[in-house]
Amino acid sequence: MVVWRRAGIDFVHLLQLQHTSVGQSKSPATIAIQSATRNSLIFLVVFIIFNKSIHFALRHGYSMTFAHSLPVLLTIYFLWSAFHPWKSRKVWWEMLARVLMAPACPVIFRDGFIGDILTSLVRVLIPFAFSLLYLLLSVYAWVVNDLSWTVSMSDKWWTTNPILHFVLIPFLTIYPLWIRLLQCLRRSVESGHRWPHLANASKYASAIIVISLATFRPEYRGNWLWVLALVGATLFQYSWDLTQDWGMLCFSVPETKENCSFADVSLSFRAKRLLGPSWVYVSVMITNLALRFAWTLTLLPPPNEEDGLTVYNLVTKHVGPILAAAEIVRRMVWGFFRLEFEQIEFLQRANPAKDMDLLDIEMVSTVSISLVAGLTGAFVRLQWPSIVPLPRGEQQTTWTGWACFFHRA
Amino acid sequence: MIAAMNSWTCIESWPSKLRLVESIMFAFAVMAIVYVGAQ
Repeated sequence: MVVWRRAGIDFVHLLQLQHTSVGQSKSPATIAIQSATRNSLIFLVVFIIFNKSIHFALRHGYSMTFAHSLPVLLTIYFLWSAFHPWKSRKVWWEMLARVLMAPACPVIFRDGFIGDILTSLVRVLIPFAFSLLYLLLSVYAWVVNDLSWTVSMSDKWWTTNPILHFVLIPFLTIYPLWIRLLQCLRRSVESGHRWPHLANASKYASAIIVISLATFRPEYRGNWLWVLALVGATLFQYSWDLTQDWGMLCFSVPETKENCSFADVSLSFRAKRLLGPSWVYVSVMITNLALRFAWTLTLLPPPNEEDGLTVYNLVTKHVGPILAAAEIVRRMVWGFFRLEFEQIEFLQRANPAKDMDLLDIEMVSTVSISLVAGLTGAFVRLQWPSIVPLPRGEQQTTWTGWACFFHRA
Repeated sequence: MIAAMNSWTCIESWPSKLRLVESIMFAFAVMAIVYVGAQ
């Protein structure tokens, strides 16, 4: 939110958050930061007390009832805070419900944005499902007055149950992609344009097929055809990020030439930029390529211990959790540039006569984002308030990549 | 070729039910591939 605001991107309007507490607040970022800080502190304090209680109980031979009640109480607290106060929480749940009910609801920009975020949360959703299972088992154990039963049963269920491995995990992995696919199909039907919606749907379809094959037929993971399909699907997603979601690269055709062919098409870097100098964009492109492949690895099913020490097991078991965290960072950076491009397109639609002279939003704050992503994570460095007006009169041949290319042709 | 692709991208002239059928077939094709792959 801070990055968007500093760059002059009206995220409240673009994401239609006017009726939320974030949209009505003068400092919306403060609400999010306070909430995240409070929840993080509560989680960490409970986590430390839980560990200390376990060690104390084991060392002195006491009952572990208190220790096992802590995760349950924490889960209950988070569930309670997710619904309370209902008046302000309701709008957020309604937004999520719109996405989950795809394709029943008309698709707006925010729905696609939330859907894309959900595709990055697969490795978060699976432990979340385990937490809910743990909560239910603990409540049952409380009733039968044997809390130690929770630990043994939840572990056993989690590692051996076929419903988990062939229903729950595939569902949590594929359903966010399936939601986005249905949203794209609905937009294709409503708009009457195959491009870009059917191509976008194909992107999610390719991901679904590759991931589902790895889930249901683990023996395919070593097949070179499957590896080729995985690389192809990931490169498809990456190119879509650059040309469509971010619009950083534009396909241009000469305006004067009537019968142009593919040989006349050139690739250019978007001239209008709100989020810093060109090197920032180039570094984000490179980082995104690496993290896109990392994201695909996070979608792969968990390793099978019976296979022994294989490369696949080593990567998914040890690097997987780090990649899952890196994917959250990648999606955050993706969000910066996705809304930037949406803002530029919105201004272009609002005033098509002009060639998007961004000086109309005077004195745009330039935010330099230097993303240093490594195995341990990433950080975002913000430099402000460096108020730098963007160059006037830069001519941009195309605004929406292929879409504009086709219409012009 | 570009003109042909340009006309292919636009299906506004199609009846809305036909567009819906096309999308449903697309979704079913994906499900069929996943189902066959899982067998």
